[in-house]
Amino acid sequence: MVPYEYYLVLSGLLMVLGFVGVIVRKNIIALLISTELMLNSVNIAFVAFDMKLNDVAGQVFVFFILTIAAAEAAIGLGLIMAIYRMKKDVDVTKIAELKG
Amino acid sequence: MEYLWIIPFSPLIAFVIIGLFGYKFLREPLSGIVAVIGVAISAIASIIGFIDVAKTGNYYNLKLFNWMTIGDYNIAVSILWDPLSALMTCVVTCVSTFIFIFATGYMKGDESYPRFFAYLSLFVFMMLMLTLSDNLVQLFFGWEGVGLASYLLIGFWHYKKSAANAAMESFVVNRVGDWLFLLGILLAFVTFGTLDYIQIFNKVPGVSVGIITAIALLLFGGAVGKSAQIPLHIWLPNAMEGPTPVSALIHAATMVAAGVYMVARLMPVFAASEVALNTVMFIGTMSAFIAATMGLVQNDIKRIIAYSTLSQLGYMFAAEGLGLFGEGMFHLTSHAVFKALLFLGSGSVLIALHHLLDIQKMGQIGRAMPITMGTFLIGSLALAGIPPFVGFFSKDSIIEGAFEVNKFVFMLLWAGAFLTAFYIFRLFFLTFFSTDRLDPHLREHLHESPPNMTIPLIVLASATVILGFFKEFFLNFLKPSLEPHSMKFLSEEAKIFVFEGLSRSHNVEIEANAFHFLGHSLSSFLGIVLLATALAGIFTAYVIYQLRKVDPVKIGEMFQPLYKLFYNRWYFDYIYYAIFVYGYYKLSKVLWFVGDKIVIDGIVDGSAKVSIFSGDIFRKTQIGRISGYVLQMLIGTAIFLALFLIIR
Repeated sequence: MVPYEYYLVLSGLLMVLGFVGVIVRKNIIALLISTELMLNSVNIAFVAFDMKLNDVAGQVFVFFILTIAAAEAAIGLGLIMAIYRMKKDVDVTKIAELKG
Repeated sequence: MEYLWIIPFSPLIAFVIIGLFGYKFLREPLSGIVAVIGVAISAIASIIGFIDVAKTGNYYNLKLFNWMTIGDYNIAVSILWDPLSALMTCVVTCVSTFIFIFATGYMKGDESYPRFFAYLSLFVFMMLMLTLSDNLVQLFFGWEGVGLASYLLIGFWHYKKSAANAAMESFVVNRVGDWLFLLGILLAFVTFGTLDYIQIFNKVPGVSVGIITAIALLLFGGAVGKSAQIPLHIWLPNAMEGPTPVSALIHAATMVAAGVYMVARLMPVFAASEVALNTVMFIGTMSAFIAATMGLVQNDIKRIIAYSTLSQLGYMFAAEGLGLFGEGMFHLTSHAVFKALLFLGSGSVLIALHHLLDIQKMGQIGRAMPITMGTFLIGSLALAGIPPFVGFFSKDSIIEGAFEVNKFVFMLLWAGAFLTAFYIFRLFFLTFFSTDRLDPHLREHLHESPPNMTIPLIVLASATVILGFFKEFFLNFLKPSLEPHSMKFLSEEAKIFVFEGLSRSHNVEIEANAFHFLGHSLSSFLGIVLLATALAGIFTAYVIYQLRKVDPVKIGEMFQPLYKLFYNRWYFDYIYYAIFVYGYYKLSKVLWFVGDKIVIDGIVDGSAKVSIFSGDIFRKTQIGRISGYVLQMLIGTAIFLALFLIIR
């Protein structure tokens, strides 16, 4: 049996990977994928704690998160399509209208 | 005597009626008629009361209703009806009645006709509150009320800038006096614990001279402002911007005499202090002389009469300061009549000449306006002090009294009498006779005024002729109010005290009977000198302005500095302007710079600047890239997590 700390480390790694992806990538689709990565890292953490604490609430959360992630991916892609139609570009460095 | 309450409240009711319905329902002739009826009712009531007091010599003290309570002292709206207040009330209401009638003609066609009569009625109400009061608070109420009415009426034609300024000036200058007056009332309340005249009079002997002097001088400060004495006289000539009936009623006959009345009313307080009487005497004398010199060289018909008002008020104060309170009040009465007459006469001239004020541009209008000219001549003779007109009996007795008491005062008053005769006849000759300098266009329309203007002139002129022969009656009538031993409301101790205070006038012997006085004037050296002085003044004016034997311009050039001094009104206006107006302006500028510019603007602008500055810094964090925000969020989260760990 793999101890739950291993899962947590994996989860942490995935989270950091997601963050780094969001920070460094310029393509907006890559940003969306990185966000998915972070969501899944949280899922893994939930399942790991669920196993440790013998509580099903963690798994219930995971299902909710999966559902919401699917919906979020659909909305996110829709927004990306809209942005692309407007700007003809998916580079986030060029979409900087909120610059102060 | 319960009916006395009608006297003040009848004009008030007229004021309310005209104020509410004047423009909507009454309009031009009716609102004037309502005002005349209102004041005529109070004139009749006051004459009935006057006759009662004249018969019995009693005094009546009615408390109408309680006004306010301070500690255990109740201030009541009340009527003190004694000879002094009866005389003053009669003067106010009777002169007002004729001036109101005159005003119905004078104001004809003015678009603010109802407003004018509403203000006039308000003025009469306030003036009667002042004269009928039995305590200092109600006196002060009336005192401020007439000031308000005066302000409203000077600025009646408020669209004229000069009128609005004159109204403001009179209000501000009066505030200076009223401030002193209020301090005097407060000091009197602290000292006596009461403000009712009669109680104050009986407590006067028990108070130290210093405090009495302070009270009297502070109250006199109010009188100086209201009666336009030097140094607070500058507002009165400018107040001539108001309609002429206002000048006649408020700024000649009644309101400006309020100060004289107040001093006579509080005679026991003033008599208790040598210093106060001397101050009254010298201020009055200086005003009488200086104002007469100012009147010599003016060219505005109304202003000349205004300076003569200042001068005559000075004579009244001088008389009071000499201890001749009865003579002072008699001069007030006679002045009210003949000065109202002079002003109404000038008003009649103004109507005929379409408000031309400059006497240098008039001339030879007497033939076209015989009634105005005749009545004006009577008024001028009375002012100059020619028998048998009333001014002779009232003014010459003051000058003769001064001869007995104080030679310096006598000299100035004597010189003033010559100047008075000269300037009023200069005005008379230049206006009605002399050469024809009138615009031919105006001459075509020259006409005598309508009967509702000439009848008041004739009535007042008749009064000017006959009133002087009632001198003895008036002096005897006033004795229960002004002669210490006849004052029924004084205690024995107070009677002796007041009598001692008036010791300066004890050796003054003036013939009370008018015929004896006339005989005395024609036989004694002093009397002849005084008469000759008045005649000399008239003759000089005749030679210069009618016969044109001497060119007035050359005389002016010969005495250039003196002429300039008089023409510029002794530079009083300029000095006040430099000190008060300009000084205040400078001070305001400093305060504006320090208070407004530095402190307030500093705070307001400073907060804005802080926002801009900090905003400029924090703006930099808004880089517009998602990755940047995520990084910031990450750092923030990390910091909070770290804090969370450390603090736990």
